[in-house]
Amino acid sequence: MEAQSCPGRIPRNVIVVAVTVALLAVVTALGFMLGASSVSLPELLTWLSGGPVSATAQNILENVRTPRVLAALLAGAALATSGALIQAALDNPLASPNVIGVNSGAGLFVLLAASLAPGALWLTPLAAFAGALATALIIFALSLGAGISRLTVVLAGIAITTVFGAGMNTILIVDPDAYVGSSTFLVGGLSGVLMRDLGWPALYIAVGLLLAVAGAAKLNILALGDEAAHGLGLHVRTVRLGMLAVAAVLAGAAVSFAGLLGFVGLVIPHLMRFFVGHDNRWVVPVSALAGAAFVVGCDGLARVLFAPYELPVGILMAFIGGPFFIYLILKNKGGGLD
Amino acid sequence: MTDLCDTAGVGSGGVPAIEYRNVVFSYRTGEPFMEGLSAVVEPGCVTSIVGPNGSGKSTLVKLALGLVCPQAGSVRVAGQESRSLSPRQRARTMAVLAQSSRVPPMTVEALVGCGRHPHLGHAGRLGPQDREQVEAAMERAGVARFRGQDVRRLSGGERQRVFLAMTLAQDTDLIVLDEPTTYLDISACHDLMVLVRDLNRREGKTVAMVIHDLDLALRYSDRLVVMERGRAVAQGTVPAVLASGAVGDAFAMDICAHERCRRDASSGSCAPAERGYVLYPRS
Repeated sequence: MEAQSCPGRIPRNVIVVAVTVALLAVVTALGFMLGASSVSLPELLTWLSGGPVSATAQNILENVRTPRVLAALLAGAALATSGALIQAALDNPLASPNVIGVNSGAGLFVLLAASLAPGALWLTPLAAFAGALATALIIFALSLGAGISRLTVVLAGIAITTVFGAGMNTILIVDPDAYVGSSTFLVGGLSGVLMRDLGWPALYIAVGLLLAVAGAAKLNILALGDEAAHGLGLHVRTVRLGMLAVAAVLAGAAVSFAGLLGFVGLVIPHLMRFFVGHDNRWVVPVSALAGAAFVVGCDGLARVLFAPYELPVGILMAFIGGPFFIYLILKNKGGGLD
Repeated sequence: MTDLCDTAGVGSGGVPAIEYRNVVFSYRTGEPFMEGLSAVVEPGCVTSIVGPNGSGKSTLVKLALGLVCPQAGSVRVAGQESRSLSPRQRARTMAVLAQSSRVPPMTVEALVGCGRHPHLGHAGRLGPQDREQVEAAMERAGVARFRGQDVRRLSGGERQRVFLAMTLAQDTDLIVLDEPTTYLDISACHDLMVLVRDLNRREGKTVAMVIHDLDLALRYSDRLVVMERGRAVAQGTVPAVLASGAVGDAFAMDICAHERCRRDASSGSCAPAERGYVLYPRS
């Protein structure tokens, strides 16, 4: 891992940002083009510039691909940023919204809301946020205990995920019609996302991303340890709690339309730290960009890999994320997990 | 400076750098730890807080830092009640080299830059003046040549200098060091102590340090606070406290001062030289 920013390294980070943005642009274009019925690049460009395209292409681009790509962008940016915040706030490289149970908390509340108050669009992200925040608070309270190791926090997250998963399955068995496409929801997928599902979550995510970038400098001070950070004038608990709340907003909003999408929040921040170092003022925004590119790319791949069958993107990401998680455990073995 | 530190409170206008007055504190209810502790860190001096394990040395630092609050009595930092200070205000008055500082994945320059945090705006961006302070702090602590290196790759002694540079960048009159020499080899210990004393003598920094090594404490301090079971059993200048026998009693050790003569080659006379301390356990 590289060290945090110094004057000589900044141009390199700028290059990383530029490459990420370029990658994002490419996968976004592919995201519009690929699928059960593909659209050619000239058609896409004509459509983008407002020119005439075939009615079929027009229909696909507007009603299918636009909400889908937008959803992937939002979910990826939100979950990756959420992961970066959680890893820094809990000082735990194994943490991410899915590992510590925040996604499950959001998912449980989404299904609960869908079952109790069907059709309330504004309620879904709010419920997701409430569930995510409640879980984050449980983890935060746990992390305050003396002698709690990083591994304990992860194990607690697994326990929480198990209980909430049982809760979600109970809801779906008792009220099978509570959520349309529940099997996709449980693994995380973007098929069938509509523009109207995205309005409120988009607002939450925009606010969350702004707060995350604004708080990134404070996370750097937190990296010195609680006592040193306190000595440097940081309200340690307030910052930690505030950042976890922002992470909950982001993860909750993403889960509300994308379901239990895992491992973006774990993989992307680590990958980005490898490129830009540990300065959170870089890690947080670059993770947002890369997370967006990652989910858009994976979703495009999930659509064409087993065509005409379509994988929920969550499954594809689990194939990548699971082994990565094991890699992290092995890498941190003997150093830092206790 | 040593002269100023011989008499209490003459250093800089008389307001104690840290003052503990009748502090009552316990970590667990029903198990009183400190019952009416009073102690003073005089301004302009190097004060060592010594005592056996569990005697309350680090608690004194935590009280000043506001990490724990006294149940009764008062803790004042530069004349202000510690619990009424915000972390930011406190960080502008007192810089602490914490015992449990994590070694973060940062460059030396970035870490020293963290010392400017209490002076920065919300965005946490260093201005030109902040950069000057960081530069000066690195120069002063002798770590400027490591500026671009990862702190984790430095030796223990170098790291501790980097952390000291961070506290210097905080630009406070008072520096508190919590067991700064733990894990350092003997020559790194002395290098660090020489630097600390030099900061006191030249820049007039008030230094308070919790330290286990009695030889270092006695050699490099002006004043001592001797802690035993939550009480300050003795405090004052090093010769006075030594004469009282309190240090030896606290550790059940006999302390022998050993003076090194630096013989002048031409005259053959023995010039006044350095003093070290040898300790023997009382049996």
